[in-house]
Amino acid sequence: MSDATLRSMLFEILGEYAADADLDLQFTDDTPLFGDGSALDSIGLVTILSEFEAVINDAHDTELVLTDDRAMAMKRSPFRTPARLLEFAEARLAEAQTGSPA
Amino acid sequence: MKPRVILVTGASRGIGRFLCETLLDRGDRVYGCSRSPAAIEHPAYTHFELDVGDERAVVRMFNAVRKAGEPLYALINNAGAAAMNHALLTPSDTVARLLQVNVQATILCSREAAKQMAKRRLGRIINFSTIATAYDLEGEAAYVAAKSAVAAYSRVLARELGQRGITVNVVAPNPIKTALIAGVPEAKIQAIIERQAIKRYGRFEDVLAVIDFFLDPKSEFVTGQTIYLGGP
Repeated sequence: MSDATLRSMLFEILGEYAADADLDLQFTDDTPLFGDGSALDSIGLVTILSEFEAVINDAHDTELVLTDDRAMAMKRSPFRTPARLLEFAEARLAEAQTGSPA
Repeated sequence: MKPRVILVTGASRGIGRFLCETLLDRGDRVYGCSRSPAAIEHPAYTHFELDVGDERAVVRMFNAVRKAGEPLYALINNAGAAAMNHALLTPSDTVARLLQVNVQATILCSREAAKQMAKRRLGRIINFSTIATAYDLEGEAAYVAAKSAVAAYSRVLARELGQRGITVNVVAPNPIKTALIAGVPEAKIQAIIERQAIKRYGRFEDVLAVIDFFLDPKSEFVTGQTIYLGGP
């Protein structure tokens, strides 16, 4: 899968979430997904991560868990913005497909 | 009415098998898992042979359920393990196994099920504890600790998922004649039964009655509860 496909999947999920939650928000690469300046509540972030994980697993027949121990231990959270989440997901997917840490 | 989709862990024997067979008889779509091969043959039943403590296998199972297309309505975390040891004679491996099968598996399966249920804003998670937690039973310290953890986890999960239409509840059976208590001396069992408000062995049907109550759409406002069979 190209980066563009993962990207379109993520932004589709973000767009659907914004519509469902009645958020007047256009997500960009740098929109905060949690913390200061974020329009999402904690369950919103959970929903987005779960759905993104599901579409990746369905498309690639993988068993990715995005919120694993390594993700939680990272000083620079991989979930802070769509750009970071994409970068993290691409690395995890590559790892799952090759069977070795990216 | 469309069949409900229900996943039962520990489906190959005892209460789990009974629950699967009963739900299938009623027309539900049932997924089951156990370390052993399928014990049930039914067109509406799919079995996964796995260890519920294996995260990848659990994720793979829930992915398969999601891909099948019908939304998951309920998870029944029935898989469990028990052990009797004096606290001072409890091997570390026994503690690890009890925590993995009772606690870690419940947490993993609940997490994966809730991810699917949250999108639809509807779901039921039913976990298993034991009357032994209410009695602080001597000789079952590690088991009581593990099953107390299940109840505590369920209360927190109920709060975290309450606004997502997902209820999380616990059934805590008294002694039922299953493999789980096969190694427990009869006198010990009788002593437990004497402490109950209603003094008899539990039956599979007693567990089913509580599970039916939790599964009922009308029970949407019931969450974070533990029901002790026979009375604590």
